[in-house]
Parts: sequence; structure tokens; C-alpha cells
Amino acid sequence: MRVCSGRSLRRSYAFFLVLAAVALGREQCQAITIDDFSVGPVTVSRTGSDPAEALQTGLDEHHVLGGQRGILVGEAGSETQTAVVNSAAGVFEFSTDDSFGYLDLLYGTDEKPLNIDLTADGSTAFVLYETDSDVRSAILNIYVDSSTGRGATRVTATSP
Amino acid sequence: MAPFSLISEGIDLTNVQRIEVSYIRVAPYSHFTHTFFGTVPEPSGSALVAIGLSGLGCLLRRRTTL
Repeated sequence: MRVCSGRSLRRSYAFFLVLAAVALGREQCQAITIDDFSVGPVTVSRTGSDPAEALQTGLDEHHVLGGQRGILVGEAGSETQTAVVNSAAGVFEFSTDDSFGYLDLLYGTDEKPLNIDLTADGSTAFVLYETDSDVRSAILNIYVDSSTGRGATRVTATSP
Repeated sequence: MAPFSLISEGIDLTNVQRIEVSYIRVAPYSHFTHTFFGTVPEPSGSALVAIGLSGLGCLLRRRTTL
């Protein structure tokens, strides 16, 4: 029977660990920042029967794709729903009260389209990082408007 | 995470005009916090195969030393 030395075995483990780190590390490498929530602090609240919305413009495009962020809170559901961009902490928070919550985040407008190649830098997926959640249920979709039409996909928020 | 391959067919991802994230029917008394929305490359299939083969090699080598 062929017997490997401890040194050879250690080399094999090291090679395996390096290979795994390189390959899996690519997944954590963010290619395009659509929003890192580090600019444009705002609170958008629905308190009553009407939805609330905000369109922020002139934001740093290194942090918000296209420099614009639209937030629409409470198209239906609870009369108390709140969305907060806490730029100091670099987080986006949403909460709803005694009924369902509805929220839309919008990037790009008809007047100022993004005109971006999402596949640049080898990107193959959207990612939405979540650090805190007690949401028992929700439907989360991403819609994409391109020059050839509109598409959608379901997304699951993940830990960073 | 949502791979681009799951987006409806016929969309030109090289020329995107608008992106919308839509949360529907978030359960009552819920709260969530997000820190980043963007795109990422997924690990390539060939890289995952290489990892698997390398790991298998390690296991076999370890077995021969026992």
C-alpha cells in the first residue's frame, strides 16, 4: 500500500483550501453596487390610508446606481409602514404594523434610465444582503426593464 | 440571491433601463434590515468540480496513511 507522508498530506489540504477559498471567494465579490444604503438618508412613512413615496436624486453613483433612488411605501396593507435609509449605519430598514406591508425600491426612471450592462464584470446574479429580519412571510421580486422588455425573478435575501 | 438565468426570457441584460425591488405581503409586525443590493458572479462550475476533485484527493490520501 502506498503511504503518503504527513508533509504531502498537508500540501494536499493546503491546495484544497486555497482552491476553495479562491473559487468561493468569487461569490462574495460584489460586481455592481445597485445600492449600499450609505448615502441619501431618508424616512418614508405611510401613516393613514395613502401610500408614501420619495424620489431621491443627485446621489453618489458609486453608492446608488444611476444616482437616483425611489421608495414607495404602503401601496396597500397596514396604515403604519415605515422605510428608513440610515446612511450613517449603511442600512435600509422596513417595518410594518398590524397588517401586511408593501414596499418598492426603484432604480432608474424613464427620464434618467440606467443604461447599464448587468453582466459586466462577470456578474450572474442579484444579491440582497440582510442582517436582521423577523419576517415570517413575504414575497420579494426583482423586476428588470430592458430595451427588449420587462422581466422578473423571485429573490431571497441572504446573510452577507 | 437571484441568478440572472431565472429572469424571464427575452430580457437584454446588457442594456437595463430600470430595476425595481418589490416586497409584497410582508407579514404583519415584521421588520427587516438590508445592507447591500447589487450583483455578484457565481462560482464557476469548473471551479466547483476542481474543488470536489481536490477534496476527494485529500480524502483518499488520508485513507492511505491510516
